Amino acid sequence: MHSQPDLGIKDPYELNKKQFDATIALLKQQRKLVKLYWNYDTDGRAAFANGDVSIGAIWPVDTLALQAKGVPVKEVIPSVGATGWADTWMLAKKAPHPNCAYLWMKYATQPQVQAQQALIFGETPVNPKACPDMNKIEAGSCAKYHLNEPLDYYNTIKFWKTPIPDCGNGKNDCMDYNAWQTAWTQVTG
Amino acid sequence: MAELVEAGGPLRNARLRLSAALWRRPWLKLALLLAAPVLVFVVIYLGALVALFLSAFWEIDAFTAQVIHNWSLQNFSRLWHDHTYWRITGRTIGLAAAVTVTDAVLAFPLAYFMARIASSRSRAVLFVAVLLPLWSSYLVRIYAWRTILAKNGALNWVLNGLGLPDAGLAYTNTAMWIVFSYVWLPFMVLPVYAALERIPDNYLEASQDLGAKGWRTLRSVILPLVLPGLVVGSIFTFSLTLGDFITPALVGGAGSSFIGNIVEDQVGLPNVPFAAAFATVPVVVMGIYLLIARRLGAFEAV
Repeated sequence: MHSQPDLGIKDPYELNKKQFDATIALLKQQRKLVKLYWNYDTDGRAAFANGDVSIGAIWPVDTLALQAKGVPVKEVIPSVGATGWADTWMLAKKAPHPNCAYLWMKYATQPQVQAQQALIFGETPVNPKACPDMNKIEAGSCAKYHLNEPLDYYNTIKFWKTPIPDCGNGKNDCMDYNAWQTAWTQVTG
Repeated sequence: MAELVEAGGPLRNARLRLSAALWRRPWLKLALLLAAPVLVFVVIYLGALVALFLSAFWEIDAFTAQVIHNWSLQNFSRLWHDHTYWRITGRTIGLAAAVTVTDAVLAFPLAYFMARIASSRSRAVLFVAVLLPLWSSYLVRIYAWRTILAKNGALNWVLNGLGLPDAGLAYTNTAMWIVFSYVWLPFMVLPVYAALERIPDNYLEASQDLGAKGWRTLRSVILPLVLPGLVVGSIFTFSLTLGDFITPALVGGAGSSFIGNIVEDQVGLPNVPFAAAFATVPVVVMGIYLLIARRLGAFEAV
């Protein structure tokens, strides 16, 4: 999106063949710079803790764990922007006890629970009312985890969506998830 | 005589009749003895292999990832035409061969010392030393190696202490080679030891009497007699490396994937048919390996 604007990439999860191939070519070129593609987040964490890597993508919970161990690490958002992941609670269509599920979701989304969970994992809660509860547990944490940001801020983060042929622009020539998986094996394997 | 049989009662009679029947029909005795293991072998072991092989010819739905029972060679054609899978297969077989050779070279002198030179007491100590790593979990030993090879690990600490630069082994194929050679070494030492121990002393004396020096005796007498043991050990080291996916995942770096890692990834996708297709590759490789091993006499002497 940034280094090769000619490709006209609007959304990193909607790539047609040409855009996709250019992306994979870049990833293959970058393989020389990569120490490891971790399988479990604890492997990524260990690589930082042991001094084997100095820059890379891990989960926020790993950053917190590393900082708790005294490893000097910090999170940054690159100038080209960041991708994001939103966790979702879902209810199965044929769930045997839907009322229990609703009770659980009600519990999990209340401000106090959201605040605790967000601070343990190092993520932004979904319920904006969790802000005072977060600050109560850790002063300034509401701002630290961007819960007080306007909606525009969230629009700058490219949240994951499963790639499908539908490009979102009326065309149907985007590479699907299977193509992504195959290419990823070609890059890392 | 008749009185004695009657004294045993009906139960004893039945037992005698059964044993007589079995004695008259040796095939029945054999069938009863072998029924359970053969059943386990055919149903559980071969059954699983057949199920694996059959599912390799199925496909998955691109959107829902459900298995479609559509017979095709699509998975094999994908394996054949994408050079990524050739590269991964080559890496897996190459490293398995390197580990096997390394273990053979390391195990032979150790096994020779244990079998022919050491006193019975130090032999016992050496046996414990060889087997001791097997008392702890394989996973624990791999994690230990990761800590040793890490940038801030024990190896670099020693090297830096000696004024040498970092080894830089963490997350490399060399690291995998070291760790595999370490974890499978006992499986090479034991069969080589067994083969060496069974060489009669007078063979070596005869060789000396005929004027052979140590090297010639080793080459012409000891090595041919130990070869079956070496081949048996190599079956262990080769097949264990070939099928592993934990060591590459934990100590390998970018570009260290084994066949097993891709199979694991594909099962997780989930694309079980493609995983099954790739999983048949090590089965075929091992089949060829065992045929060669039989040629070398691995299944005759040991």
